[in-house]
Amino acid sequence: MRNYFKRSLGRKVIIINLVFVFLLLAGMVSLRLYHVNLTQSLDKEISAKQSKLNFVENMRENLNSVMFDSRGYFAFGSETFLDKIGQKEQQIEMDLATFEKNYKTAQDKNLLVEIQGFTDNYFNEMLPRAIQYKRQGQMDKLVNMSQDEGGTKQVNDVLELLNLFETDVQKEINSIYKQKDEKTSTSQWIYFSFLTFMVLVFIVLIRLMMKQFGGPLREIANVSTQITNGHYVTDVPHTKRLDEIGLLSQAFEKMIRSTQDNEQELIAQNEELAAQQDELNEQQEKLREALLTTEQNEKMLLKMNSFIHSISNTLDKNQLLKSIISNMVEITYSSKGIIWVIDGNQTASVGLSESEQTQFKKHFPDSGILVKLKESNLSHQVMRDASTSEKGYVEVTYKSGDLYIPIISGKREVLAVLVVTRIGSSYSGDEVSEYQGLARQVALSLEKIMLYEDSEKQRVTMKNVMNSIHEGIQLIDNEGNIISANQKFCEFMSCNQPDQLTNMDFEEWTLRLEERVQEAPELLAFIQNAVHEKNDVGISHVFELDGEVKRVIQIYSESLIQNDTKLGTVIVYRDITKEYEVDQMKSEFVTTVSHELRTPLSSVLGFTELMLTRELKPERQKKYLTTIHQEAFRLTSLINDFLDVQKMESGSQEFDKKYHSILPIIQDVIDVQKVSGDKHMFDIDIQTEMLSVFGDRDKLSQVFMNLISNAIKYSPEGGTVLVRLYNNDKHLIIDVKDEGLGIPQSAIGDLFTKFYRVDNSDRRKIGGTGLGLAIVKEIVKVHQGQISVESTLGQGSTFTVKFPVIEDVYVNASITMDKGQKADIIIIEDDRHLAGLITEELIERGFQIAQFNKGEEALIMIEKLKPEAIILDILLEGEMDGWQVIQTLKANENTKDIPIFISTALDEKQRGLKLGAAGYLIKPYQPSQLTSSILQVLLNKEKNGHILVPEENNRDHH
Amino acid sequence: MARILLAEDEEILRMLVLDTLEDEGYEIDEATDGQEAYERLSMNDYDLVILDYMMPRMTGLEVVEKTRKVLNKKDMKMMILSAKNQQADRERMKEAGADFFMSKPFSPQQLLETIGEILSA
Repeated sequence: MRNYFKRSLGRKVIIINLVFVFLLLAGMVSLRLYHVNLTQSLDKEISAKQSKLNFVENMRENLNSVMFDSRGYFAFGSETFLDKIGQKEQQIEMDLATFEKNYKTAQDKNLLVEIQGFTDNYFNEMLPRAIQYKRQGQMDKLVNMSQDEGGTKQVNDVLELLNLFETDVQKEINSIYKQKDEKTSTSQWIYFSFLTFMVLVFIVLIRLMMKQFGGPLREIANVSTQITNGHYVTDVPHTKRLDEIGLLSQAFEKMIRSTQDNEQELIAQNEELAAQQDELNEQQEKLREALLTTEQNEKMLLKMNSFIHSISNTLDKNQLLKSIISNMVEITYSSKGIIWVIDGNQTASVGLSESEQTQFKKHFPDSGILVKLKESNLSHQVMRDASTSEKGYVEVTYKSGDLYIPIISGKREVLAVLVVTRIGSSYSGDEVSEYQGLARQVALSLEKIMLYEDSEKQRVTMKNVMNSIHEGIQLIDNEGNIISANQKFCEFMSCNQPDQLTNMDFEEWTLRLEERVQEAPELLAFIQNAVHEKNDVGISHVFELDGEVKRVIQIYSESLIQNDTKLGTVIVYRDITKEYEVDQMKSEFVTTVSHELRTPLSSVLGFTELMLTRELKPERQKKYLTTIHQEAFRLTSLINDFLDVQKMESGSQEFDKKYHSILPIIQDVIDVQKVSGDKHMFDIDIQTEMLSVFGDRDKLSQVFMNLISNAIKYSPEGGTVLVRLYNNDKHLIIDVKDEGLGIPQSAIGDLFTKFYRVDNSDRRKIGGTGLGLAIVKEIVKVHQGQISVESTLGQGSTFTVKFPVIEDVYVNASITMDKGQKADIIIIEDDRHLAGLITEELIERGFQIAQFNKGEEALIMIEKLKPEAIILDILLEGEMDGWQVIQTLKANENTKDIPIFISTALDEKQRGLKLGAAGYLIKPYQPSQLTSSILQVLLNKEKNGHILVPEENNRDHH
Repeated sequence: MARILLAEDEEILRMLVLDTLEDEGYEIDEATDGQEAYERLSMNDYDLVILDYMMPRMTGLEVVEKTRKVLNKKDMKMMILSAKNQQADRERMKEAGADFFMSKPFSPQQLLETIGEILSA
């Protein structure tokens, strides 16, 4: 049983609490019972006393009533009073009997005796005697009796006694109440004390329980705390207890045991762990260092990134350089800097004045620093005292660092140099290597932009080349859309800018083309074939393109093939209008020529046949012969024209140019033409004296022959043919004017085109090859001249030929010099006529000539002009003679090697050769003799690698 | 004797034909260009008309065409002398209404023979 309670704390608590509650209830019940008991006994006593009082009261009332009734009887004699008295007497006797039965105290008995004595006396003696007296009428006796014998007095005594008794009883009741109050208060005190006692008991119980449960728990907790604090605990309290605390302790103890058992192992493990941790810490440290490096690298990369970003956004070199230097100065925390590009000596700077830049540009390219940079390809730092401008208001001396960073290309060449300056400090080694890294980026950007500039230049060049080509060129992709096109193609398509055609799709551009082509389906088929066929080399197609001018276009295509893949097609549009027209003209020409040839041939053959087959009179024979001769001549000139054209076309026409006066040439032509043109008047109007031309006499003659014969031919009605000669500053001008048919304005542009003939019925009877004016134009051109025409239809035409003014060949030296600027041969000759002849000869050979007639002047110019040869006369105007000139020239280091040819009337060849002359000609001689000996010497000299003898007549072949 | 109209702008050739035919007794009218020839044709009838092809103002071909169509002289014998002797040229002349064709240069004898044949037909 004991164990049953010891095993459970809960049970213990319940039992203790139950006992406590039971004691409390028992105490309270017994106290209550005691109190009720006490109150009840006192209340009984009080009620007993109260009934005593009631008795007294009743007695008094009854006695008084008896007295009253008896007096009523005595007064009135009514027997009713006597009945009433009888009733009262019985009641009194009953009351007395009850009283006697209930109250036994002395006092009570005493009272009872007294009352009984009175009643006995009154009712048994006095009353019957009074009644008798009454009945007898013995009133006096009655009064006597009441007064004398004391009847009244007895009654009063009894009443007095009753009052006394009543007072006593009252007194007793009061004392009992008093007693009751006292007892009640005592019981209350007892009650209160009990409660207090129970509270105390409760507290004691609580304390007991606390001691039973809290204490051990606290102890266990303490042990636990000790363990927690690392103390070694061997004993755990309360393990012997059977209750929960015991169990807890046991479990706790077990736990401690096992914990402590494990502790050793744990310690060992711990040590191992500690070692590992140390290692980890070490690693962490390393990692942190690595992280730091990474962060630095990242920062560097970010810096680099923003740097690269800022320098990679432009394709303008100037802008790029500005961007590079400003970024570089910022990143390197420098105060100023400059970047200098070797190629083009270009710079951009930050914080430098104009003069500083200029100074840098001027001197840096030759500086030793640059040489060093180029040799080492490494940055170079220079420490120096800060310059006055860098120091500003500071007076003390301090250092500044200039960092020269070479920008090195992929080919390890220095492209540019970047210079940054830190005022008051220098650049650390780490910084320098960091900046060299940036320099590589700069190099990349620079190379990129240089590449871009190069390719841009090439692109522009290509574009220009494409646009300058006379063929329309169009590059299309495999779907037929335009990739690019050149200016000429754009013209064919009537657009303004080739760029407008870029990306135009197949449908659109072919539609635009088709609109203007007559045989569009064939063209379209060709183009489609070109786009889709893989191999189309050699195919071409010709079509006519409408427009302001009708063009004949030959189109051909070439596939653009790269690595066996067709990238697109190049279509070339050749404007063959000219060739086409020439072709047309040529076939027309053949017809014309055959017609023109057949007519004179008919005459020749016909008249010959007539002469052969018929007997003719001598006059007729002569007439026929003359005609045959004329026609044969006409045939010859036709053939000559034809040959001339052929020669001019092949460029093999030769011109034998000499100085001529134009006047006799024209005069001769007019003389010839006069014979055939008997309807016409001829007039020559000469308004100039500068009539010299330098040219081929026959060709010049041909020019005027053609012009004048045309004038005659195209004025079939006759009229005046006027030749007017005049000049302006630069030209000798010859007009050939007729009063004939005139030329339609539309024809004037083509008038000088080969094979062209004005197609007009009025002209059909006017023969011609259509070559005359073309030949004229060609000849005039070769003579540096121009030809033009003005004409009014029906009124005549004026052909105007202009030749360059030829100064009189016998000009003075200074004029020749002004024109020449350079002279191959200098002629020193006082005979101007001879000088002119020689000059003419040499100019024809292609030399440039300067003439002098005084030795002194010539010497000055010879030093300046360094001619290839000198022709020297001995007898000269002025102070010096030829001998002196040659001696001076040979004595001068600069001129002693110039070959000198003496041209003189003096026969002193030996003297001349002795002085060093290369040749000695005695006048008179053929100018060609002089020329050939000069050429001989110059050619020998050329073999030694000195000069180039000009090609003969090369000045005529421009 | 037969009456012939000769139209030729080249004076020398005109002289050649004229001399050739007159010696044989033909009666010749001359015209120096096509226009003149046409005017003569509108006034007179000829046994034969010899026309140069290339003439000012009006070609031989035009004269033939106009004579046939405008003057309605369908039966008049007409011959064209021309340096153009391509097949295509002859076709065109035939279409225009020329009966005969002779190419330049020609032999006077051959011309006479041809004319003789034409006129005797």
